[in-house]
Amino acid sequence: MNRKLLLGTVASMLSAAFAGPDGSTILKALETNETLSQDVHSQVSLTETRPGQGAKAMRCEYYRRDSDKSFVVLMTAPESDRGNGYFRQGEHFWMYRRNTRTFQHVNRDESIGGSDARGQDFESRPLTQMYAPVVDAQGKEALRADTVGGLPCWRLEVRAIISDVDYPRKTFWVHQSDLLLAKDQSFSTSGTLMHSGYYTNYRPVASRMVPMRQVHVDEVEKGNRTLMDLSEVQVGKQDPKIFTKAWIESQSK
Amino acid sequence: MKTLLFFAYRNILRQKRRAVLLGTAMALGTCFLVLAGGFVAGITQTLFDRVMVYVCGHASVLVADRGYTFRTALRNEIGLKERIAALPHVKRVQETMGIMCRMVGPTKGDNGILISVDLSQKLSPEELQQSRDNFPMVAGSFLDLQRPDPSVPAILSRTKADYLGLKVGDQFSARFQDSRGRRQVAHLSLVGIFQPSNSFMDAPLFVSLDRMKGIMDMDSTDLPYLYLTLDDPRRWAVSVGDSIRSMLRPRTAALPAIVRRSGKAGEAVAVGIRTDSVSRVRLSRTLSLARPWMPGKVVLPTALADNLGARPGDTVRILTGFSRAGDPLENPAEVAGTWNPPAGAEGTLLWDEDAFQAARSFRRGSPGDSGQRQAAAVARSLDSLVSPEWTLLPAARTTDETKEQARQIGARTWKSPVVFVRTMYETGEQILKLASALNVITLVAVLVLFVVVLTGVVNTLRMTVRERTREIGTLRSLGMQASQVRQLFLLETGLLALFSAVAGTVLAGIAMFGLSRITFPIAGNPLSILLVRGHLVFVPSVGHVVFDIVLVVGMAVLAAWGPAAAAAKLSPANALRHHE
Repeated sequence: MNRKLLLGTVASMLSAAFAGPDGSTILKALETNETLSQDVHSQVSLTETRPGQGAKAMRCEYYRRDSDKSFVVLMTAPESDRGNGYFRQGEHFWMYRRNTRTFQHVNRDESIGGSDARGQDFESRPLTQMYAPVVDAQGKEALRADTVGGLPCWRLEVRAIISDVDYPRKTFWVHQSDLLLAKDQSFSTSGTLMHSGYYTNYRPVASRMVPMRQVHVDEVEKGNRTLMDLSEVQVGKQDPKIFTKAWIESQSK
Repeated sequence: MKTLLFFAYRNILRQKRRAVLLGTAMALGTCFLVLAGGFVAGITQTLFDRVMVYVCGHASVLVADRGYTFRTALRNEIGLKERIAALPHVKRVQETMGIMCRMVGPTKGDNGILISVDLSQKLSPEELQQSRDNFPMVAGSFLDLQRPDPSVPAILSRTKADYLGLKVGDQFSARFQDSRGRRQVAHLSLVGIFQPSNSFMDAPLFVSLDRMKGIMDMDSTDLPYLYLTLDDPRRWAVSVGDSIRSMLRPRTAALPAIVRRSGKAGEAVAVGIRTDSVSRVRLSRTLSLARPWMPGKVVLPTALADNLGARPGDTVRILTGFSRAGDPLENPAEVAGTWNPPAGAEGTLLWDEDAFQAARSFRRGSPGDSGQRQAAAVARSLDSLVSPEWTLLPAARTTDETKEQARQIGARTWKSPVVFVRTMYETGEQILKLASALNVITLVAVLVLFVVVLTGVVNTLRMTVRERTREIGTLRSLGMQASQVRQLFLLETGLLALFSAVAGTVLAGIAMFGLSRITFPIAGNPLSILLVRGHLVFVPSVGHVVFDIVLVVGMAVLAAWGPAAAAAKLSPANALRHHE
């Protein structure tokens, strides 16, 4: 009897130690942290590494205005790409090429600059409208404690609740301390791991926490990875003329 | 006339050396003209019959789902392919898919195009030979694509296989976007390698149609692009395209749905309503809604709203079926208001077109005619606000119009699937322009050549007239009229030109035969797309050859007109007194 009591006590203690947020709370926290209420401008450095091809460094200016789903990306390096840009407003997405001084409308599923990125990747949708925690037959969420880089995290498996998503299954690791995203993995319909992302160096920006460094790893083509660093993040209303084709064109003169 | 013909023939033979030299020049000109015409016709035929059939068909039925140009499936269209195949002048309807992919070998990756091969097609011996010409196999065979391997059997070009470090039997992967827009990886096994006949043929990664449908998340009833091969395509392509357009007139789209809220549920028929700014204004004038009509909203029939206890601003969940993976397709929607559907449309809810069409796109199995009666009744009431099964684009007559349509699709001008019928005249407009340009260049080059040749004709005739002045005087004294003198010279030139043109045509035939026997290297040759099995192709037509001969004779006669007229003008007395 005493042994049963002891086991019950240990179980309840373990359960209490495990007690954390539920999956929906984690998803909502991730979604909230993604949404910025103010305009943002930052410098973005991208370093793409391809096996056998070395590293390619790119730099760009990034302007974002969530109020009308607009953003502008203006390439500043390398020299061959300087002046090229991308402009999204509402459902429309254009690519600007300095050499031809033309804006080309990019379809939602069209590759951008031969990369893996597509026009639709820049459309933002609330996370909770796309994914829900995976639950087992007993109704228990696929949520457990784990570590990333030695830091305690919650590991949450989610599945798409709508069909119109890139990946039908994802796994998120969020820091137990503040529910900020530490790592994510994306899986294809067949269950193949396709992409991993690592998010570090969080800094407060407009009452949100933004990862200043992201590492994106291509899990299909081993060795492909992209390092993204944000710097000089400025929050506050941006000049409306920035979100125009004329301004983008003027920057390449 | 007979006498004139005799004299003309005799005069040609009288001055053999001059006639041979002049005739040779005209024969060479004709030879070049016929040769160039046959070559241009050969290139055009090669491009149309051997390239365009593979690239875009003589006519094609294409689909883009809701602004996604690479989501090319028309869902649950049972029987459409067979109905198109039954149209007059349609030789074959082929399902085909081609999407960009990233091929990943053991050490390297490269971009390619994942292309389906329909092995169920019955090919004629000629088509089979064409296929072998285009894709000469180095290892394996296209029939190996049917192997029931766990990995998807695939065929690559030798260039790509070498670059990726693959040999037959090796496993590799391809990353791509499936027909529903999800990122997908296929595990492939290399069963064949072909020698690319030109640089354009480097990129394809071939898999069988049925395996491709599987990895693209398509059912056997989902139709990808349809490429048509026609009898006499240049004659029938446009009319067949028009017939298909008539066949594809869309109905109003409808979906059976279950609406849930707070543990209650009710059945309904969902109809999509446009949400663009004009439609929003029109709907607000037609229906009195409590909330503005926006994306993500739904208008419930009053009876259903009452049953669910749903009020404007509440969120309901709309279940429209199940996905191919078996997941329920359930979407939230905010109630914008209620309405009383017209007679015949009882129980119909009006739903944001974008969400409605997405539900249709991802639904497994066709709802068939379920809800069609209600949808038709709603369409009578709300007219063009109602979303169709698909939007059928009007015929684009030029490549520029085609590009503009592609831009509009990408800009999501239409939220429904978009279906468009193309003929080779739009997609192959550039090829047609190239053929026309080649024809014009050939004609101009030949005309320049003939100006040189005909200058020689004029000079020769002027010399002949001068040499035969006394003879002309004699003939005129014997009673020959001035017009007959003119006709004599014209006939003489005409006969010489005719003999030369015929000789030139024969020479062109020999040259074509000889040139078409030469084998040109294919590998690394950018012009190899214009070759057939490494050989040049000439397609001289009887009409074209006759036209060339008439052109040469006509021009020669025209050039001879001046000297002949000068000869006719000579007075008999002056001509007889003429001394060199």
